[in-house]
Amino acid sequence: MWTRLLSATHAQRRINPGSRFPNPFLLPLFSCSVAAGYPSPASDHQEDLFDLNRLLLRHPDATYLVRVSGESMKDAEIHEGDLLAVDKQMEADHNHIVVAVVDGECTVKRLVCEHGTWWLKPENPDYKPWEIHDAGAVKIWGVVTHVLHELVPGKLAALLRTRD
Amino acid sequence: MFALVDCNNFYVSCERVFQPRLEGQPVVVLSNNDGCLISRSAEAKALGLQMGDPYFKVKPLLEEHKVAVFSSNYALYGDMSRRVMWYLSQVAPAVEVYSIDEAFLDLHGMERFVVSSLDTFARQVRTNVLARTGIPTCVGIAPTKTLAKLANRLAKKNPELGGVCYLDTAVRRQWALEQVAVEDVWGIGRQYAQKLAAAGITTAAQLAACSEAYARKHLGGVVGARLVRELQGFSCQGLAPVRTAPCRGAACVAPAPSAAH
Repeated sequence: MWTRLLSATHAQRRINPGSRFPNPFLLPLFSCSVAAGYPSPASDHQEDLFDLNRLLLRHPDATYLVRVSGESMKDAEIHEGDLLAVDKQMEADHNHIVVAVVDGECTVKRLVCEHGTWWLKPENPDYKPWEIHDAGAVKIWGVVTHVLHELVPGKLAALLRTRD
Repeated sequence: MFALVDCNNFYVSCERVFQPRLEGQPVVVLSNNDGCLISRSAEAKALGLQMGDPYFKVKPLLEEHKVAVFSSNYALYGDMSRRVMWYLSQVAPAVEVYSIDEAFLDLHGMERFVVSSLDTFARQVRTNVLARTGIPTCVGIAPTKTLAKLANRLAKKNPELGGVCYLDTAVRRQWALEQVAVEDVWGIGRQYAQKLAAAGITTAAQLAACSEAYARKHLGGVVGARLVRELQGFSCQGLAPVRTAPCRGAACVAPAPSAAH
């Protein structure tokens, strides 16, 4: 239900706005799409290494990694233990998935506007949507731009275990 | 003009970014090994807690008022600091990262580029730092670094200024100098403060009224003379050059000393 916020630092990973920052996180980017079958000889000739943060994040220096707890957003493919990239600089808008602060607690929900009323909607039928009566009572902490979901339990799961 | 941007109760503010429920609650952060208080929220300051108070001594008070207490997490503070400094380096021609939570901006020539006034520019900087990092800041703007530091102090102490203190006229500079005690001037330590008090100089305004010869004689030669000149509005020091520039676009080249107009 609730989400624990951690900064990139809590998660032992830096979000780097560009190569001038220390230890960018580099992954090879292959120029050809991955095809099943015989590997292309061209894939030996990798292109430059890319900093994943620069590649994917709009505002790397205003993006934070946040850890999910609870399954209230499971239909949006956001599950317990996932990491979310949350952009604090982006203006939240209708249909964005956001980290909102309700009564001092952080929660991940979809921000929806229906007939002039704003809602924080879970993506799970077991949870109730939350109507925003008083704009002052709810603060948008940031907009969720990416979900980091580990398909093979490994380093992320281990990392989260050490932090519990 | 120089600006000094300073993060309010920086370590406490960093903890609050990730724990919004601490907003409005008294919070303190302890030094390494939980020795003493090194950061206090406004609510904690109001309880009479002092910078550097040993933890064991104030523990009963902290418990009595349900103060949230944190061990320091420098990995987090360093990361947040870098984000703030990175943003500042993108909006000013030159930046000197003075400490983990404050930076001088050299704004010479900026008046031509900012649409309105530097005051509005400073307010935008505050808004943007808050939006990107969640860290509240104060900004002091003045013709010299020493006055910028003094303006920043006033921005922090006077909430009605809205976090920005811009000393653009001689009248405002004089007003600011009268508000600040001599021991709170950047570069005046306890020894000099006592010496000056004995000579009847207790405010920054009185110090600024001193002659250069007096400053040379009593405040450590050329350093003291520069300090007084800076208080009078004549810039004697630019941004300190840094060995590793914080980022592109922030080459810290000291401009030539210039008189305030």
